[in-house]
Amino acid sequence: MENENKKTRVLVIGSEAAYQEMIGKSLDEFEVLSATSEDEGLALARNERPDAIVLGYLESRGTAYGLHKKLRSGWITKNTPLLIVEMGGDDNADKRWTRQEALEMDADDYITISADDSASISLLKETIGLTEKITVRMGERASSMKGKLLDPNDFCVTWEQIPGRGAFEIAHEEVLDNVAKAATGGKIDAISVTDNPGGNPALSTEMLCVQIKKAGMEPLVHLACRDKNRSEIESLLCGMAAEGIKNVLVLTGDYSGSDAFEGLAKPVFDLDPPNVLRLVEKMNQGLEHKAMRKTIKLAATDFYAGACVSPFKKLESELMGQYAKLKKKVEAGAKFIIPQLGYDARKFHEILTWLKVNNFNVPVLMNIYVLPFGTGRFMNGNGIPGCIVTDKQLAELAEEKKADDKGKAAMFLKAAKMYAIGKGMGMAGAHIAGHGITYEQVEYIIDKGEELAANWKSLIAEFDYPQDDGFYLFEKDEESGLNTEVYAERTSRPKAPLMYKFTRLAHHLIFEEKSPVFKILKPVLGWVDNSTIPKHIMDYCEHMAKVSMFNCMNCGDCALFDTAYVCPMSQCPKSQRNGPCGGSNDGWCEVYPNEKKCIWVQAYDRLKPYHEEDNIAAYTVPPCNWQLWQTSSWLNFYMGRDHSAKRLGIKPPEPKETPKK
Amino acid sequence: MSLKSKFEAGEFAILVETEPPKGADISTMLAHAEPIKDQVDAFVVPEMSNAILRMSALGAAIALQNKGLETAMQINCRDRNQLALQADLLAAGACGINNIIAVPGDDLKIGDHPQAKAVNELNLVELLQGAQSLQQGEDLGGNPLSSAPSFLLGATANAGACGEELTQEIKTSKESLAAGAQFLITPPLFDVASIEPYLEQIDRKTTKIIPTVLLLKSAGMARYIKQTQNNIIIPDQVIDRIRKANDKAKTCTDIAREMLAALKEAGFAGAMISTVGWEHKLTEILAP
Repeated sequence: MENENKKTRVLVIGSEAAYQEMIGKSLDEFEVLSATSEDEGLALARNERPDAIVLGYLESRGTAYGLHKKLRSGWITKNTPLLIVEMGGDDNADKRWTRQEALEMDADDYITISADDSASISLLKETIGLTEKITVRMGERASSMKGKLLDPNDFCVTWEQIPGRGAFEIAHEEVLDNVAKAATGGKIDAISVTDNPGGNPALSTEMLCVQIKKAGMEPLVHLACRDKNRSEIESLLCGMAAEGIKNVLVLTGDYSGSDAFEGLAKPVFDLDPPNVLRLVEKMNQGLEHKAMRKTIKLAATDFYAGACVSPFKKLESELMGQYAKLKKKVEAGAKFIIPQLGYDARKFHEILTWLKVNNFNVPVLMNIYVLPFGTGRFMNGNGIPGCIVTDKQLAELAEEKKADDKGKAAMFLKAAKMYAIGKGMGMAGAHIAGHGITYEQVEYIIDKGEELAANWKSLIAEFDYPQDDGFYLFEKDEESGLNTEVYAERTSRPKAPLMYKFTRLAHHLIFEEKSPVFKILKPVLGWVDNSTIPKHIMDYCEHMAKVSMFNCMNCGDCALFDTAYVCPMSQCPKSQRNGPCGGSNDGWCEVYPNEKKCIWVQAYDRLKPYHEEDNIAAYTVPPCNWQLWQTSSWLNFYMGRDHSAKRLGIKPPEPKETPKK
Repeated sequence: MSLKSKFEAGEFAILVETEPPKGADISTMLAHAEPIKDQVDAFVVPEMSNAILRMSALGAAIALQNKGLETAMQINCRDRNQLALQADLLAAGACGINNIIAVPGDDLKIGDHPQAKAVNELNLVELLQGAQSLQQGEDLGGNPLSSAPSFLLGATANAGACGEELTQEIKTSKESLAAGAQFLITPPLFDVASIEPYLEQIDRKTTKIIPTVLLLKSAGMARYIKQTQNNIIIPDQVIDRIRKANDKAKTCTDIAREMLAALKEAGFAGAMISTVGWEHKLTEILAP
């Protein structure tokens, strides 16, 4: 990734040439920008966005203090590490801050360089260690969750909170109480807050996360795609960046719940997770956009974004779709993975094995959902999309419930065992969740989990919950009860429906650039595109044909090519153009269980007979371009306007010479 | 309850530093002081502390007294000769300013008038003796006064000194007490143990020790104090706590509030809160 290798840039502000030279030399590992006046310093700090600022003496006395206040209160620079570095000694007494100013200093560090230290650069580097100090200060401003996840000797723990509905509710007090305890306890690295859980309105996770950050914990914002379009997502991300919130968990989100104001809310799903991750990655590199015919590059953000995956799928077609989409998420820039909740150890291990086999180095957090019997029964009945509790597990929960404590001790012990297994099998952390669990209970899970971690292998047998005929991606390792690195045979033998055979034929004829039909049609359609009445007729005919065949809703940026002619815009309630969401069950759509098959299950089954099922993972489909809404997608394809044309390199017709005015 | 009676009753006194404005408008100063007047026993009015030119302590203290706020006025040795010092003490006495804190005055070099001339005709003990003398109806020239003022006298003591400096400081403190000081204000404390060597040599039954609680602003400010003022000990844990905090300002006020509680717990006679520019945080620090 481009920004990972970027050289650290430090802005040195000081009006004395000797000071600039000395600091510049001592920071030779960094790229140094220098400013010799307040105006220049402020302009560079704002326009160049250095990673850290070193501020010394500015002519005249008091100017540096004034600039420091502007940097601290400035929107762009308020979170940039600021180090005040002054020259010591009597000669410089009138070039230092007054004590009054110093006592009002709002900086990350203060360093005096004595005359002795400044005698040589090597001495200066050694005694003052400015390079290290800047690196440490930058680290303090960075995501500590990232640091924990990437440190192989650390195990990162996140705790999920559910924001209640309403503005002033006890639920919110409880969240802040939990946060306060977590901040004091020091065992939890980040607090995550779900985004309108269940698809119903709740207090905004972003707003709550700002409070959580203020209360001393690092937040992890869940960003679901259900309720916001791409503009709103970008705008929220900008706000979060400004508040210093770094960690984002990108998910598709449950389908809209029925408990919103006067009926079910309009499901948005404008971007899917791979495309949100692409957006975040571009923002991290400095998003470019066009205004007034110029390309403007926005200042880079510093998000640490992760994604989800649901390995707990029964069918081959379902599971392959999950991994196809995970591949796109990782390639789009997902930096960590939190799987769907589940209890089958071999399935959790499957993700690690898949990452290893595919050479993806992405940390995974064990999802530990503390499961009481009631919730287990609900999940067993497919009550919560994508959450699997098998009959065997439910029977065990029922047995445990007979204890005097109604199974409470067993429930938390199980959670601790999952922690131990996660740590043992090589996960980088644990994501702990559960309805109404207290900080003390979370601490028990961590402590007990740590205690059990050494014997994690002996615990795997307790988390053996395969679904009936459930598909696993890899062959089982009988010894450990987990997976080998050998892919299991994919034995499903679906038959392509007649309709698909027909569309394939039509596709080859009409939409392959090399086909003679395409070559003949291209100039004809070019003429149609510039006409009025023929264009209307074409629009109408295409729409009618595609409504009857594919339930077309005329988005104009057709994705039928990408989904084996199952329209994601009209057939998928979440408009997923890059792979399935996590909500399917036994191949059925989350929104229409036992009624409609997931479109990605359909697509897989259509492609497999042609050995083309890997096409699902081959490329990331960009989000639908709503500029094309209600226009002919055939024209858009032929004229090089839609995403497929762009992917296949179909060029728009040569522009005719513009008539002279 | 006046500061004096609070001391006599042996209750924990809360003093709050209230900087006079650098200008002629006292409204901001009053706006910070008035809302907390019920929680504060005396507003300490520094006299050009940190060697920054400001409105005179006498003027600011009169303005606060006029609003019914009890003040403790600082008077420094740095800026006036003995005549001017005595004259201002008489003025203070006449205007109802009964609490006087004698201070040496900060070095002019650290302030905004490094070119100014320091007077220092009287030292701290001599200044206290002068005030004591006025209370007895006689000026430093040995001449009688028409009437004598009455003060509760205090002084600052560099309780964080060590080594030879500490020996000297204890001598000065004892002389200050002999010269009439009834309470001593220490430099900012972040760890009670850091002034133990000083406390061991002072009779705490007869001397009221008032440590300063300084509101930190940032890790940088704390590191400045650590590097430039050897009489103030800031433990690394305190600086680390600010560094690691997400809400640094809140952590700073938390540290001050916790220190205030610790001093009360440790049995000190009171504490003086110094916010230096962050007066708006006072309500938060004083919150129960």
